[in-house]
Amino acid sequence: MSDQVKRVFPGKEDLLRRLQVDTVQDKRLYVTPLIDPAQIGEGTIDLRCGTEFILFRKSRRSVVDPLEDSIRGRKTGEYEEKTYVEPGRFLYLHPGQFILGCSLEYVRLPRDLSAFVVGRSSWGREGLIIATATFVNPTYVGVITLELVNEGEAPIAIYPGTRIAQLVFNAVSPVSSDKPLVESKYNVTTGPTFSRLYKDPEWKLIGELRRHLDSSTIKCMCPECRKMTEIDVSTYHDFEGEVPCSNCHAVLLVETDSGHLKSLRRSH
Amino acid sequence: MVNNYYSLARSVVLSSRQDVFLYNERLDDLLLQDYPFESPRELIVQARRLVNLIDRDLETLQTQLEEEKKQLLTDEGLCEDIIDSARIKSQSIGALLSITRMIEVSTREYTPQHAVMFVHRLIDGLNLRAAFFLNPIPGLNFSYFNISRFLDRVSRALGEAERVSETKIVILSFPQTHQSDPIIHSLLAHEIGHWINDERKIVENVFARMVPITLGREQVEFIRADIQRRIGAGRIVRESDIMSEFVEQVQKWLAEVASDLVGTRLLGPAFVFTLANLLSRIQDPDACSSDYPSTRMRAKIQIEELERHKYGEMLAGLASQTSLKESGGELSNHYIALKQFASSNSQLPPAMASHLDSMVFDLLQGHLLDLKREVDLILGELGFSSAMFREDVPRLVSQLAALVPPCEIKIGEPASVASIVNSGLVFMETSAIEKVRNLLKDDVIDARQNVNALTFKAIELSTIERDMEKSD
Repeated sequence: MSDQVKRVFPGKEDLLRRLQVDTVQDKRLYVTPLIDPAQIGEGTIDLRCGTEFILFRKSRRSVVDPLEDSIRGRKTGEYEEKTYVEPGRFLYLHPGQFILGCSLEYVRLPRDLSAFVVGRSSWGREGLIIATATFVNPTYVGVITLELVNEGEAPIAIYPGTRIAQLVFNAVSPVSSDKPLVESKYNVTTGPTFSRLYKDPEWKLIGELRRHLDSSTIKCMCPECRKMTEIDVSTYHDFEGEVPCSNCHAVLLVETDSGHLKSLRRSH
Repeated sequence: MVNNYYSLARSVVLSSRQDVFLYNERLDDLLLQDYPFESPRELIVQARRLVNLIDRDLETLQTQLEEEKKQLLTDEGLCEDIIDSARIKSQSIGALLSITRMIEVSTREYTPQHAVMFVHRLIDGLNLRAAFFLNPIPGLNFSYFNISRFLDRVSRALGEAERVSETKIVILSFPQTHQSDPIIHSLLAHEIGHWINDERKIVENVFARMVPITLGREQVEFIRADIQRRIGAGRIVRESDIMSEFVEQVQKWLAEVASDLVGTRLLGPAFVFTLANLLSRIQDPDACSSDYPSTRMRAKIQIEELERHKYGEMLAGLASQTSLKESGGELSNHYIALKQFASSNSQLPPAMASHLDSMVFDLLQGHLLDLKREVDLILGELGFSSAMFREDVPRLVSQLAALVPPCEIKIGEPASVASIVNSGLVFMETSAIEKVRNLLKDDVIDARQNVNALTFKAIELSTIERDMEKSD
């Protein structure tokens, strides 16, 4: 196995050493606050449920379309809202409901550690699924956002402060020190974070492809001058009305449906 | 002759009763809502009780209008009395209406949880019980309002002998636009100081120990001229006004300084730096009013207090503390600059202060020691110290520089709220912010916002850690 992919599970002693204040910055692991030292296991640290949640509410918005969000800007308030639940109180997660939560602990991984977020099996047996995007990069800084789904039959009370997940660490070859420490779009977050899928660079390319498709034209014969003329369906996508012929300027009555020409005749 | 005042009086009384009806409907709506604590509900019940007392009086006026119609139709004076009486009741309703607004904006939607925890930590250990409402307001201002006392006053005005409630409810207002700025929240410590002053009667005690104030003829004339300038030439200044104005200003300034002293004791440099910074932004440093001494006076008194608690020595020593690197020296220089600002005007009180202000300042200076003693007595060992700053802040600064909330001194040891805020202060006052800026590749304002978010997060996390440890 090459150095680049070699992975080792750090032991409890190693984790404890890396958590100490006097550790050199490049090796220092932050998981704070660590309320109970028993949270540290062999290569793992238990995470507690945090106090902030993002709930999804019914709204007029019928579809999640990251391309639209990347073009027009995401309006999270339309269908997502943040709520705070203080320790000692709880939040019901109903069967089938999906919410975002976060770890109580704030985490910063050094350049030579990565981690996986794993749900605790005791919660899993109650039907609670903790996370889907489980990999945490070296140099990640922030709370861990948890995607919580109740797959069970009965509502589950979620209590902030309870141990809900685990970070399972892997020692990896150190990320280059030239690499900026903070580069993920989810870095330095202090609460659960709304999806920033729309910030992915590929939406720019996909957006251009869509614009190209949308700006295509329909070629048709003008009933007046009998020459080929073009109708821009990005302007006349779903349209019924008058369009001038690009050759003879005769006024044509055009009807289009989803970019397809339905009828064309001379206006009188 | 038909008396038109009768119909006016009737209209005023009925409209006031309608105000009561509408206000009660709003209170009913608020009562139906879910609150995490009992105090909002209690406040609503108290307000409703007073509103019903007002309605009882208005109903009596209405009955009087109906039963004594014949007499009232011929007696304008009596009708005017009824209008006056109804107006006073309406004004009380108006004042009570502000309570609904405070309840509405005290929810998490408007008041962030970290601000709640900040206040919770500041008052912890004081052994004074009250329910606090945090009230976000427009503008760059903080204020304190003892609503229980206000309700008691309304109740007494309505002829009720008993107190409205045993639960003390206090409103602390803070600038809504700055709700994500933990450093500026340091000034809430001053408002908490007002509450401690109310509860423990700091100013009352100091005032009681003062030698009875006597004013010479010349002083009386100076004060008369000052009051005349304030109220305008058209009104007469009576002899009794002069003494009461003087005493009132002395008490108000003492209360302000006492509250500042509490702030300095609770938060140390974070409070004094922020106070001087904010006041310098919003007013002339030498301007006094009947309510407040000048910014320069207040800064000078609090810097003396920092010196008394050995912060001066400690800050000077920071320059050589390697853990803070150049930030220690910068903070120390900043403190020296603040000292120069506070004493740059050779005259204190400043030349622009009125004779009245100068006399109040002299009296205040003479009793400052007593005031400090009183605050020391109440706070005892509570609050922040220069030793805590020296021990905790460099560690927390290194965490913040690593973009981690500075919530623990070491594993399992939650940091105090004062240490956390003072570590945030280092980033606001020195070039330490540049490190954060470089890590984030942000501009300096974004970097400051990130430090603010991490500082607030640290207050929340350290509070939770401490509470969970307590419950173990």
